[in-house]
Amino acid sequence: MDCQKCKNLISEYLEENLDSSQKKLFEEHISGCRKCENELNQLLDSWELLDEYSVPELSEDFTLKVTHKVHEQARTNDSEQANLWDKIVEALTLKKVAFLPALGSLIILAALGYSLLKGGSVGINQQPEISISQKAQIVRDVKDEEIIRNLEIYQNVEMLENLDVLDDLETLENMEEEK
Amino acid sequence: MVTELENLKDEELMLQFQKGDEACFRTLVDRHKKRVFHLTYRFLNGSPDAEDVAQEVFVKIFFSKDSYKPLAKFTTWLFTITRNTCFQNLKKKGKLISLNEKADETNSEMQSMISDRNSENPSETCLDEEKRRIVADAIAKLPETQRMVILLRRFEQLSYDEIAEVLGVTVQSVKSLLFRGRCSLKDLLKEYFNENV
Repeated sequence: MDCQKCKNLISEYLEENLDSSQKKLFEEHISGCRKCENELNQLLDSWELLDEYSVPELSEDFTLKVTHKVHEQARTNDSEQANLWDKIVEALTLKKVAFLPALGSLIILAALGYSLLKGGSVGINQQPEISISQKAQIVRDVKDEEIIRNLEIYQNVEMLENLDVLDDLETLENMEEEK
Repeated sequence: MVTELENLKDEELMLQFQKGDEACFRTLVDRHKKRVFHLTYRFLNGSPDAEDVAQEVFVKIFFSKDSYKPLAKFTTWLFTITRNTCFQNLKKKGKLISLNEKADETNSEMQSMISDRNSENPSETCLDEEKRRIVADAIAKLPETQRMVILLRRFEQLSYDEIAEVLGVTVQSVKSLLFRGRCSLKDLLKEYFNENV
């Protein structure tokens, strides 16, 4: 085993993860190589030295303090929940509805503004677009109107006032011809 | 009743606690408080906050009892919460107490120990305290995750798998962090060995 191979295995050796044959080869190299032996010893010694890191005694009332903190936290959580509920209730009380008309106006203005910007058909200058079939209908209606206007009887407004439906106009015209 | 509880395993106590038995929670605190405190104390470099942080760990356990699932060991869950709380504490405080500040603190601590204890051999106490300070400073100089791995392995004897679970990393990462930590400690403590050869 060379030094590089030994270096690669040193971690596994320290953690006692090498199988017996690898361990034997590793230890053989260490016993014959001063440099690798030093490296290993320093690692082992520094690990050993960590034992010196003692910790002071824990206070005797540790568990009691934890219990107090738990109850304190529970109370805080409860009061936070209660505060949240109070805020919701407060927001919904009548005392706080003074802002509602202002809010309503704001919403209406916003909707109006949006419609204007969108170019919606709310203005008096804009007429709804007319489809082809509707145009045909209008043309037909105009022709009908011309026909009606051409009728002699139509000239006499007084007579027209006594008529209920346009369908009767033709009959009246016929009557006129007969006269 | 208390004796009965003491015979129960951690996982069983936790399940009873989930059902509302607070005595089980107190038994768990009594059983693990030292381990948790040792970890927080060493990780936070002997900070005076270490005990408060350890208490905070158990408070968190209390309020997150419903999230505990007995699939893993209780201690793995406990140390995961301890790790998170320690890291949060460091973030909150910015960084560790500067080493100089710490050294001053330790010196005064050491002096009071010597005068208080009426030790028969003050020089021995002084030497022990110096060793403790050197080791503490070396550990404090390690990056946070490396430090946590070293402490969990060296003092809490956790397995690679458990450490991996606590830190949320792979076993291979744990091995690598551990070895790098050991090499760093070796370099940091080299001076001590050179002085004492």
